[in-house]
Amino acid sequence: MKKVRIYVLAMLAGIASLTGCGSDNGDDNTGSDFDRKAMLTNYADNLIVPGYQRFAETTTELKTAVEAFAASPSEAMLATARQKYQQAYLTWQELSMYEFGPADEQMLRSNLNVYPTNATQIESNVSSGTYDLQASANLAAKGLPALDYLLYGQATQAEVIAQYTTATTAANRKKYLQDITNLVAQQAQSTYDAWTQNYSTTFKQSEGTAVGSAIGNLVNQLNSDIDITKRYKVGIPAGKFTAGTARPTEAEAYYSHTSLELLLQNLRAEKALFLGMSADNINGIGLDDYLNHVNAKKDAMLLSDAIEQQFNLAIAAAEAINAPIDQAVTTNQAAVNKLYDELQKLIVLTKTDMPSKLGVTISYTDNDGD
Amino acid sequence: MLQKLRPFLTAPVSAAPLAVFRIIFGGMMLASIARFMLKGWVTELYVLPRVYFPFYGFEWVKPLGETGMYALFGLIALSSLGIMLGLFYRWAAVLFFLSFTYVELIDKTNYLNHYYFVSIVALLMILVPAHRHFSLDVLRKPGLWVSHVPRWTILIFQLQLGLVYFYAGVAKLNPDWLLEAMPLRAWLPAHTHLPIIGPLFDYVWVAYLFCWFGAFYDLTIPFFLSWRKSRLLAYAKVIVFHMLTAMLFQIGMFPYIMMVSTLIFFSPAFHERILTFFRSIARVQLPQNYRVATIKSQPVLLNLLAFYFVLQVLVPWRFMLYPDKLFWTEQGYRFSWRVMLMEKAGTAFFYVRDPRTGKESEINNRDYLTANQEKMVATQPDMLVQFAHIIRDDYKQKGISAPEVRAEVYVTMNGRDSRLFIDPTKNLAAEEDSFLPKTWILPFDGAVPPQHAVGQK
Repeated sequence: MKKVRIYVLAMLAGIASLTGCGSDNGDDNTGSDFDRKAMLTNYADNLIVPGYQRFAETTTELKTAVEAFAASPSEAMLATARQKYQQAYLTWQELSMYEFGPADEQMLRSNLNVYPTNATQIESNVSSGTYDLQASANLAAKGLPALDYLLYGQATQAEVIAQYTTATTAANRKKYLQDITNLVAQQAQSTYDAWTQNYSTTFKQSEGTAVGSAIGNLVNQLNSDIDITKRYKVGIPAGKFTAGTARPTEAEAYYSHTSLELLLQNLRAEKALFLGMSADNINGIGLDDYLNHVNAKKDAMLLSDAIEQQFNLAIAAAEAINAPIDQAVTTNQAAVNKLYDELQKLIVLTKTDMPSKLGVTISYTDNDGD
Repeated sequence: MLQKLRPFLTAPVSAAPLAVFRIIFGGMMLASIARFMLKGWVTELYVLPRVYFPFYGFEWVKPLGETGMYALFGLIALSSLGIMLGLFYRWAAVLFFLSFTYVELIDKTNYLNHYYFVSIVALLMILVPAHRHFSLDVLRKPGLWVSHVPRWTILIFQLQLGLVYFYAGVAKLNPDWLLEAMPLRAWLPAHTHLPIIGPLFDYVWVAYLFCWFGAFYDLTIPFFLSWRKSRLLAYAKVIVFHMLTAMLFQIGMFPYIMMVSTLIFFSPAFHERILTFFRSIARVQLPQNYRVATIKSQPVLLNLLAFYFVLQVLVPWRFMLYPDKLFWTEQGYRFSWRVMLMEKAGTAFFYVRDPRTGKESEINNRDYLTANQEKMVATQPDMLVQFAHIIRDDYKQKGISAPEVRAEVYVTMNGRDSRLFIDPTKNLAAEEDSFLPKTWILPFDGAVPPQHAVGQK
């Protein structure tokens, strides 16, 4: 019994000495603890929900405009439909980084924005008049890139209108255009509804930084989105994956040549996510504040500043391209390469440094670790 | 020395602990394998991946296709059942060791210390007469029955378990763990939502407490478990420690395996009570005579085991043969009971170049790798070389005769800034993996202290 007592004492002494050891560690972030819930509330209430609301609105307007165009195809109607399509596409760029919860259930990234769109598949669907838009074979024949093709696929407006008036498949094409638009609008609405009905609460109440937590989702999906920006919006058209041979037709929104605006909108939205900044430019509590709270540094500066600065460099590099990506990849390679490099630097910061400082696991499978 | 120890090692002791250990080990393995299959991991880890990362020298170990892999897992399950019941025990033990180890050798992406532990315990199981007490083999052939076994047949498992804990503790004696509480201080805040103890994880002293307690626990528990008077308290600590790790980390069955395996430190009387309970259920009688298992190859076995344990003691130190910091280079990291020691993450960009044209393409890693493989490749030099070779061979098939592969890899370790990990100009396609130091790993600058991470007060 005596030995047991000695043993218990030894254990207690050990623990006590550890406690002492820990408490005299003057950590740099004494004071209040970080309000993760306030951060998540900011994201849900000021960025995500208003974003999906705008997306539901713009896609509904698009739907109305497309219906009007289908009812009486004219230059004026086409112009309105195109304008509404652009607004919807730009709004999507502000939301592609939230692919978790409802957006993940709707698989928005693959249902709304797989490009290059498959013109052959679209034409075959149009001419046959029968298609299953939920089939994976049609992933590249629907969504916003398909609308890009259907609204801009011909050299002139007159030729586009002719496809919906005089062409033999005009009726089928109108139906396909509307079916695709309706699906986009419907998915936008479903995502918005799911957020407002209950996911918003789930999101705000999710705690911790583990896989599947709100913070884990934000960080991981922001990184996925930056990866997509770099690889698909810039890298593939620029020939980074094809030994330098540019592939202009693989650029986003190739037919409307709006890839640069979309890219810029996307980059600014990724930066806004990082900062927790709403569309009205109100900078709320965001990942940058969380990084500051844990006093994360990169070299001599705050990691949050380093990341914000790198976002700015990437945005500046994109602005300097000054032409649609599909053209710039052949006419202004230097500018495209510069953007590509800035995005690469950004990825290292957001995908390697940020998660490790926040204790967010970039973990993809639910397999065991040790 | 072995000669002097021999009388001690070969002295007869009750066979009950060995029989209970056999049942526990077989049962836990059966449960683990069933869980693994039910989670769909056979398909996910051994059927779907396009490429695999075999261990050096075991490149001939290949996955067997969907049917083959499920058959192999079926064999593992069946042989663990054989071990548990003590039915055709030797065959079961050999089959289990071979099939389980084969699976683990297919892809080092899935390397876990506890899989290594299972493999070597299975190897030891082959050598002992664990089926000669309370087993179906005894029912089949009553002549097999013994009441006592040589002490070493139980001691080797205690020693092996002790080594696992002790070396896990030794590995924790490093500045990051003890002085910075890394990586626990980065990991614990992920669990602030747990009831009762969760809110504590926001405090940095809790991370320190866990680090120091963890090290103290690992270093001492083999001794406290061996010492009769501290055993019960020590076992309570085993339960608390492993329950905590089970709650905090995604480590599957391992905590439970350790909780029941450590029962082997308990007295023969304890194990006999367990068996008596089972016997009362099964309504079988314990023969009253005394019979010691004689093991014909015992002298050879003892020498082999001595050699085996010398290896076990030395292997974790092999990292000292390599230059630079172990955690950074990971040369000599595996097979050393370094458990949950690092928060290491990386991003790897691979490029393949055709020397004839000078043109370079970036690789989309996910065209080849699963998410998990990509994550492992980015921080482990030997896997970087292996992946470079996979890319090289693929581009050779695409018609480039001598593709060059280089990688730009950024790694962060235990909260430090991400930095270039390897020489980004090195043609990895021309590098051969070996046990020699990899000179193209950039030096770890030990002068830069880890940055304090994560939101604690």
